Amino acid sequence: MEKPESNYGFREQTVPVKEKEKLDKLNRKWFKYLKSHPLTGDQLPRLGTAGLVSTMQMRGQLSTKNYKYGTYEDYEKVSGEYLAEEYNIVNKGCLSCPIKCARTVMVDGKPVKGPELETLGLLGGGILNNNLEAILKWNYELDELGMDTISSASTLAFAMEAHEKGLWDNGLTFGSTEEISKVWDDIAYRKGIGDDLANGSRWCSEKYGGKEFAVHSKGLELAAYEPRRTVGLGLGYAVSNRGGCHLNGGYMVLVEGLSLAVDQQNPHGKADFTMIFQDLMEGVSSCGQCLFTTYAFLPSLIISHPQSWYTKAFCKIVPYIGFVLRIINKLPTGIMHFHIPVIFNQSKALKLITGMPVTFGSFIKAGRRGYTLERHINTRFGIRRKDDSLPKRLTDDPQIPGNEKTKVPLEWMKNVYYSARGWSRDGVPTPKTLRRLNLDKLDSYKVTCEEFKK
Amino acid sequence: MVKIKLFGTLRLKTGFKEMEADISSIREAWVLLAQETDIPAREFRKCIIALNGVPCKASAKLSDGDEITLFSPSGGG
Repeated sequence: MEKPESNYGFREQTVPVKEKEKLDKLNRKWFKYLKSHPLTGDQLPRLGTAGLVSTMQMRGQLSTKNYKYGTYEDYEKVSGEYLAEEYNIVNKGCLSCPIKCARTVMVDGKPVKGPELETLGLLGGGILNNNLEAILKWNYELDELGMDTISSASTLAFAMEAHEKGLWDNGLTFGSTEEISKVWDDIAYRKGIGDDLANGSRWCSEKYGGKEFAVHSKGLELAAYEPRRTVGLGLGYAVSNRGGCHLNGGYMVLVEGLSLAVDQQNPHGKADFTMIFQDLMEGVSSCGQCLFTTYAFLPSLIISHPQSWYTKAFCKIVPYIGFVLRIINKLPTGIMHFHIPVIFNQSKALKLITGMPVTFGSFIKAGRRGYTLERHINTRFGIRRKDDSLPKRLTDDPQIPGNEKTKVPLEWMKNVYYSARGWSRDGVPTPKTLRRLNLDKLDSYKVTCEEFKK
Repeated sequence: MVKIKLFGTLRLKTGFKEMEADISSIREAWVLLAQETDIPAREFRKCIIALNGVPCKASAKLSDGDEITLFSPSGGG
């Protein structure tokens, strides 16, 4: 009998699992914990990521008018709560996921995927638009065109500001949103101003000027978190291997305002935390698990009692325990020959599925090797310290006029970060670091940028 | 009068959005919210609080025309 076309030629197979019974038992416990956690069991299922808009507004982290401000006066009209109350018709998620963070909304009478926080932030306050219905429609249109909403929205905001400053006569203005659907089409089919916009904000700023407010790192536009009020993520955006990606950048905003109230402006300890978060997230992503499961790593006791003395004490000491993390990061990962029960199940699950002798230490080491390997490859293509950058708006202009703390002290943080990673002052992994991570033999596969182009 | 606003999952659970009340402390706001909804006051004690858009302590004093906002714990995206 012929296979149906929907299989696309793949054969049905069962994925073999090394220790199935133990894995099932672990999964049951893990699901139960995820469902009982305030973030993975309550906030994400009920509001999705969109629920962060109002928290970010309170912390001054909601990028507004192309990252000029950190709060938007009409934030309520584009918040996750308003989306859930007025537009969400059903919560959806990946197969078998206990979190189910996706939203479904109606656009032109059709049920379609709803917007994420980044889309709401950048297509809301980012371009001074308070029309949520328009965002739902644009989100759908961008999905259909196969375009990323973060890069599209941020490039649009740059174009609006360039027009406002008289650098580029493109007809786009903040708050005027009638022609935006046409702009997406123009970008997709490279017509009119869309032909320039399709190249992204870095390219446009090189052509028309305005590099100081083209908000990208290594050519990739940033997410909706305003880094001047979350300096740890500011560092993460800058050093991320992928460019200005919040998840590849360590996602320090989770503890700098979203879930915990660690001092957003204090740069101390942030580089060490960024490093360990990046390594953990790299490990989780590499084995195909969802990053949202890592939010349960923050104990629910401190998340659900933000006013308690122990949560406040925890938030106060975090910037000052960076050196402890530095010592742990420098020690051989072999000493972490254990799993962290209940709150971090990823390493044990990987062991039970594959049969490999995975521990928490080797899991982190795998993430660290991946991250360093990416950097090693990037440096072969010429990436150096100068490329780990943010636009001047975020590093030189305080978000709150007169408050010098409300900008990203990037150069200072980069020094600490490179030292923590075992990279040179120019951001290149040292031979010693590569040797420690068993990546030194890769030098026999030298491919330079020029050779690659050939 | 002080304006009280509620955000996060508690808003979806209770249907409560905002109200104005004559109160002078955040403790009074917790009690008032518990009366207005079916949720016990201890649940509102778990909220992060902002006074006029800026995070504040639970002991903050309120005066006429202030706006307090309560947020349930939130995660990442």
